[in-house]
Order: sequence, then C-alpha cells, then structure tokens
Amino acid sequence: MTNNITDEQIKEILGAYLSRKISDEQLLTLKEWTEDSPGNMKLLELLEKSEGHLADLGKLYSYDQNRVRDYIDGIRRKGSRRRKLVNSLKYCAAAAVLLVAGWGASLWMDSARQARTAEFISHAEPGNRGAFLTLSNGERIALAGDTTHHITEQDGTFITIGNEQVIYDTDPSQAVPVLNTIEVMRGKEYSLILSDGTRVWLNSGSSITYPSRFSGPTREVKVTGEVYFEVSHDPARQFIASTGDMSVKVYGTSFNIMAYMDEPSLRTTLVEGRVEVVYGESNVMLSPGGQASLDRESGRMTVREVDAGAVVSWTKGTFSFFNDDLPSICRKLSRWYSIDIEGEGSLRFSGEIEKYESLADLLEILKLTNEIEVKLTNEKLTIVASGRNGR
Amino acid sequence: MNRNDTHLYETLFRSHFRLAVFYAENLVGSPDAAQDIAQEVFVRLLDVDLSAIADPKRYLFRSVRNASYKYLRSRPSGQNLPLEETEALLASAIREDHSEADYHSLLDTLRELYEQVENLPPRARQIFKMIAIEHHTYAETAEKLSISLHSVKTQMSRSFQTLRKRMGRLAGILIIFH
Repeated sequence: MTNNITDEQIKEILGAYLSRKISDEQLLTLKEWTEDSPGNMKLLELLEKSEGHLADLGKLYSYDQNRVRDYIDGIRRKGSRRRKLVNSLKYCAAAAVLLVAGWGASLWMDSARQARTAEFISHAEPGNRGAFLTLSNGERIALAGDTTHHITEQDGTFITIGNEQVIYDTDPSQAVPVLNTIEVMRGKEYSLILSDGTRVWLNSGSSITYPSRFSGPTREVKVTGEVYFEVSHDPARQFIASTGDMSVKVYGTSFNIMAYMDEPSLRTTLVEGRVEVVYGESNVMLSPGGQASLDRESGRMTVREVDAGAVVSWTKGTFSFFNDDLPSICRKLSRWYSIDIEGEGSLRFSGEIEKYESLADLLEILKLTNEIEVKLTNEKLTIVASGRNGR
Repeated sequence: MNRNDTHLYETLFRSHFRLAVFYAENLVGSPDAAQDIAQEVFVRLLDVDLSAIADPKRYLFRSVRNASYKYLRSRPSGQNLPLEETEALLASAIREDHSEADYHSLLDTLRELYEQVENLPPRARQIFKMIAIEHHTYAETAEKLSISLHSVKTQMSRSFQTLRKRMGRLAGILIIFH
C-alpha cells in the first residue's frame, strides 16, 4: 500500500511524528510504512531512541568522511608503491614499444634536482580499478576492484557489484526507473554492464549517468570523459549516448567517445556496426574505422579514417599514440597516473606502451628518443622537447 | 601494515572517524580544523601497530586530544597561548560544559546510536541521515539566533507511547472501513 511513498514524504511524516504534530492520516501512513519492512520499523524505533541526540548525530553526518577516506587511500597506495619499487626496481621496456621521433640532445640537469624529480616520478602510481556509484537517493558508494555489494534500488532493481563488474538485474513490472551515476576519478578505470546487456568501459576522469532500467522507446545515457560502448543489439530501441551538445545514435555496435573538457576536440570512433553522430543541425554517419571529430572552438565536425583498435586499446591495458603531440600525450598520462603533467612543444610520437608500467619506466622509454627533458616545479612535471626538432 | 592490522584500521576508521572529528570539534571549536586534526591522526595511525595496542579506541581519542591541543597552541600569532594556559582554558571549558566523564558517556551514547544507524538497511539509513542532518541545521540556526532549541522545535506534548497507541487504534478503524 505504501509502495509509492517517496523518501521525501516519509521524511516529512517522521518529522511530524518526532515533533508530535502528526495527523491521523499521517499516523496511518506511518503504520503501513513501518509494516512494509523490518528496516522501517527499526528506523522508527531508532529515531525515538535518538531523541535528544538527533542534532549531534546530524553533526556527525555533516563531516566529509569520503574525502578523508580518499586521502588516506592515496597515502596508502604511495606507501605500498615505495615498497614495491625497492623490491623490483627493474627496467622493463614493453616489447611492443615502437617509438618514432626525431632526435636531439638532452640538457644538463643539476643532480640534486634530478634526484628530486626522480623521487617524485617514482611515487606516481599507474591507475587501478575503482569508481563511485551514486544511487538515486544520493547515496555514494565507493567501488573497489575486489569488493562485492548487493544493493536494491528504489525501483526494485537489483544491483550486484563485484567480480570486476556492476550488473543490473531489473524487474520490468516495477515502477519508474531511477538514475544512477558511475564516476571514475583520475587514476582509476572501471567497467559495467547496463540492464540491457550493454557493456561500458570508463577511462580515468569519466562518468556515465544511466537509468536502472531502459523503459522508454529509446535507451539514453549521458557521458563525460572517455567511454567505450559495446551496445547490445535491439532493433526496436535506439541507444543514444550524449555528451554536452553531441550525441551518438546506434542500434547495436561498438564505439568510443572521447569528450574530456581539457581536449580541444570531441571524438567518436566507430569500431563495429554503424552509428550516427549528431551535433546541432549537422550529422554524419560513420562506418567502422571512421572517427568524427568535433572542434570545440569552431564547432566544425570532420570525419577521418583511424586505427580504431588503437583508439580503444586503453580498454585492454595499452596506451596507443599515433602522431600525437606531447601536450596530448601528457594529458593522458596525467589522468592515468593522477599527477599533474604538462607537455610543451609540437614534437609528435607514435607507439604503444603498457599502461600498467610505472611512470618512471614509461618516461625512460620516451627518453630513449633523446628528445625530451623532464622538469619538476611545484609538484608538477613538465615535459619539453629538448632537441632542435622541438618547439 | 599486515592483513590483520589493515582490518583493525578499517574497522576503527569506519566506526570512529566521525566521532573523532566530533570530539576534536568540541575541543577546538571549528569543524574544518577538527576534520583536519582527525585526518592527521588517522594518517599517523597507518604507521602504528594497532594489534599491539590494548585499547585502540582510547588510544585514538587520546591522540585526537593531543593533536587538538597542539593545534590550539600552534595557531597564528595573537591566538597563541602558552601550553599551561591552553590546558587550563580547556579544562575549565570542559568543566563548565560537561564533566569529562559526562562527555565521554555522551560519546559512548553517540557511538552506539551511530553504529545502529549504520546497520540500518541503506534506504532507511538514508532517511535517518536526512532527518538527523535537518535537526542539526535547526540546532545551528537556534544557536546562531541565540534562542533555545525548544522554541525552534515544536513543543512536545504527547509521548511516543500515546502516539503508538493511536497508531494501533487507527489501524483498527482502517480494517472496519476497508
């Protein structure tokens, strides 16, 4: 009977109950609600018991525990990294490394400064699995690589988190679906399966907002950052992924969206199938290997052929660069190693590097080209082209 | 940190972090500073062998108290008081407000309630939190306007027991007319 009561309504009724200003009608609803689940009854009893301490409990909940949690996890990671480095400080260039670049001369760096920089770099950890799931009631759950959670959303959707995945199991007879958000911070990556079976991979610094169940004529999600989709085929319901003004419409296909705010262009790359990319009045159809690129400044959309496998190689543990300039490479590294790295100059690189390498190893590989110089200023690394082919 | 220690640390953090901030705020008066103090204490605990400590909770609160004193002493010039003076000030503040023992029994009560809230099913817990945080806001408003909490909240006339009884009777009526 009280299935349809919202949290906001029950909160109001409980408030009235606590202040003894409750109407008979409200009392009745409250009774039904407490009979709905033992948890509700316990909540009522706990509220009665907490009388006089509610304000203090509210104060407790006003403290930001998650912030400190993240901070401590960060320190812990660095600590274990230090130990790992001592044990296995070995240089291992990935076999697949293939770097094409010009040549130059590395500049002299005073040794103390060099040591400080090396020490700073040695603390930069490659990213790992993890994200935050925000439920429709605003509750934020930290998802680590190895924890298992079982959650029931307000619409009855059963969420299983664990085994490296978030899986949605919905009951179609239930009420209106609710919105969930997965947010992946810098230095993290994550993947999940939506309720329609669509697989989603999120790169560092990305997010996706989606309904617990797709109930309408279309399946719509919103993304930021970089996200790769393998959309489950459903000819009756179009899948629409949108980011700001650009949206991608598909029926069943694999594609990658890159829409970081700090990148000059938004890119949609098609791996398989067929998609339509829509921006304002303009739209283009892509076939496999096609990449639509929308320039943020001019608002112009262009299409080119790319190596789609390389574009989505981040979902398989590799950084792929092809003719990418230093600033754009450094933005990628910065997101993954969660430290500030800035690239200067127009030097371009192509090649593949394992993304679980330590930053120190990765920079060694880049340095092999004898073209770059790494500087540390105020907790920020700057990588500059040092040779005459630089700037 | 070994596995066992990690577990102890996690448990302590989850059940006591917020209480540590609460305690520190009572000592230093600022929620932001209190949060920093509690954070600093928990960072230092990372290097402590918790399994070797007889009463980790007591150890935690003592560390928070020491860190709070240290914070009060190290505040920028003008507010800088010598150690003895700070402690005397604190001691008298505590005496005025609650006796220290009273204060710790308040912390115990809060810890117990907090634990029970945390054990509620997620949705019930969320509702509880919303209500508690609202009450906290009332209490703050009352303090800012320097009026008593009672005049902000509605005067309480009937007991919960009476309410519960009425709830039962109403249900009877429901059955009859349904």
